[in-house]
Amino acid sequence: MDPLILGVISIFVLFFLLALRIPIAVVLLLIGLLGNAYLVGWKASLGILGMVPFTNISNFILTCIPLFILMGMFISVSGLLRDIYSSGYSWLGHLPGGLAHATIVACTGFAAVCGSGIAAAATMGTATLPEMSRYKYDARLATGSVAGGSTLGIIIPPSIPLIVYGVLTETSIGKVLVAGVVPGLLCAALFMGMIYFWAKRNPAIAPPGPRSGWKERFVSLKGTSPVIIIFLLVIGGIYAGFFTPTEAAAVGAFGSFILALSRGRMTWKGLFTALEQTGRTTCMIFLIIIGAMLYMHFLALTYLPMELADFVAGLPFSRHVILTLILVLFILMGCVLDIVGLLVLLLPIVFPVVKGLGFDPIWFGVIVTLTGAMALITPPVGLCAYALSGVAKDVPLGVVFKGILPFFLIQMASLIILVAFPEITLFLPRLMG
Amino acid sequence: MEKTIQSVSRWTNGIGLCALGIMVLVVTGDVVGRYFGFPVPGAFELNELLIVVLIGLGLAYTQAEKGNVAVGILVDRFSPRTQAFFDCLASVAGLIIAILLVWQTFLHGMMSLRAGEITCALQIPLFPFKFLIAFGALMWAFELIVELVRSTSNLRGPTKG
Repeated sequence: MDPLILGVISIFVLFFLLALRIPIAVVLLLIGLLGNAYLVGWKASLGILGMVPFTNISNFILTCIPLFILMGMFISVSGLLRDIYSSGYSWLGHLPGGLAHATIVACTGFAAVCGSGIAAAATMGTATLPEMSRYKYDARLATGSVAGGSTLGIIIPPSIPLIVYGVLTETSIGKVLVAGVVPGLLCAALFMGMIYFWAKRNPAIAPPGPRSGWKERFVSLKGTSPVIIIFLLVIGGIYAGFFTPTEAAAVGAFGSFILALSRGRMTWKGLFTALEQTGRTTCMIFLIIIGAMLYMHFLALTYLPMELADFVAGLPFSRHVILTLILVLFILMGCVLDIVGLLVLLLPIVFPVVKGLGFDPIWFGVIVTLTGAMALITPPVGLCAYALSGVAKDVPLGVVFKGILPFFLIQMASLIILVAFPEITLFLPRLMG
Repeated sequence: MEKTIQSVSRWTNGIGLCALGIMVLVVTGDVVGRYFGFPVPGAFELNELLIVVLIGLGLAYTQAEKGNVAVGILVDRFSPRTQAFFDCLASVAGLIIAILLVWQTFLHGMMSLRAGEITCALQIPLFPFKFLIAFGALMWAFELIVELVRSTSNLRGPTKG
């Protein structure tokens, strides 16, 4: 059989096996193993299988993944999210939709020190939903702003998906992380603009709260300073070239541990839970990365990614038409996959095409992560929506998804803006050495 | 049998988590030390070995805690009985991979032992860490057997809990 055809078949088999609820990592390993065996023989294929785990685990760059996850866990334990939230509230609470603004601010702050969205959805949900329901906020706006805001976690660095993207595409992790800063802030600003106009047009859904005094506002900033310090240290350190991402992550994890300890929030149980959840998430991600590496090894042998890239580059369409199709594919697949799944399943095929069309790899990393952020809240498998409905027991999931829709549209708008103006994403990493 | 496997995987996972804690300390110590002119010798490679401990010893535990992501969009809609069938299928697929991994990563470790591979700065032999992955894969395989037995019994009788 022509290796090219084998490559195409492997993609169909891959999605068939995934549909049978076989774990992603197992499917990738199985297909990689069988495909390699067909092309280079069993002996060589098994040899590669034996080598792939150690080579891909024992990699200094990849060690930033558990360290960044741990940092986010410690920050969650420290209860910092609440402080940013109350500070955001004292500054913006009197505006239409004030509590929802405060929620977005808190999510943005949390995103700046935590690499995942799901933790933010659950933590923010417990902190802000009771308050919003006390002020008679519409349940759609309340849950929508928590779910939408929590997705910022994977766009604003540190971000686990951006790191996985860097690993899979051999793009500079430091640069991809720094590139996420401005798009994340843009997305947050658009969320807040939308909340403002929504609440302004229909004041009943979000009655404004009392105006806080200036003194109270400035005092409240004190509680947010740890976030700013840790963010500047970690991301600023990477930006300035003072740290590698791994070193930044370790310092960040250590710093946030000390922070939680100094605030009297760190208990033995909390420490153990943070370590345990970090370990579990790390193993899950690494097993998938190992699978992806084996599968990509096989795909490279079939020449499918290169041939496809050449073929697509020769098509008589504008490259933006093809990009649009690719992004639509990501958004649709995002309905049933999470972001890491999206990355490992689609990038091996799509990335060479995108690169062949002359798009910037760093920029594309941020773009696909934004589609991953959309995947966190799109039904039927929006992980943030589920995490949120787990804590908002009195709100039906249907209402949560209704409330999410405007936030999804804003993400879509951000996506279009970022595609139209790549400089928004790229100017910051370009300033790095 | 099931209890033994689970308590072993819990204990080994605990050791792996200690490795995670040490990673934080080693790299932070290196960064701070470098600032004062006393970097931790071999921090780079220590970290690369510690993560092997974390992953190798955590694999089985992650499996036990249902930590491996799958796409349930289709199968979630089936009856519990049918779902049990697909669970068996997933366990068997995982088991095939796990067993091949045990075998091949062990061979890989043996090769490393014979070649006497060591790290650059601290000259730590690599083979124990390569065997550790084989051990992790073995524990993962045991965990999958436990799950396979459980789903086969769900296949026969009505499910409880």
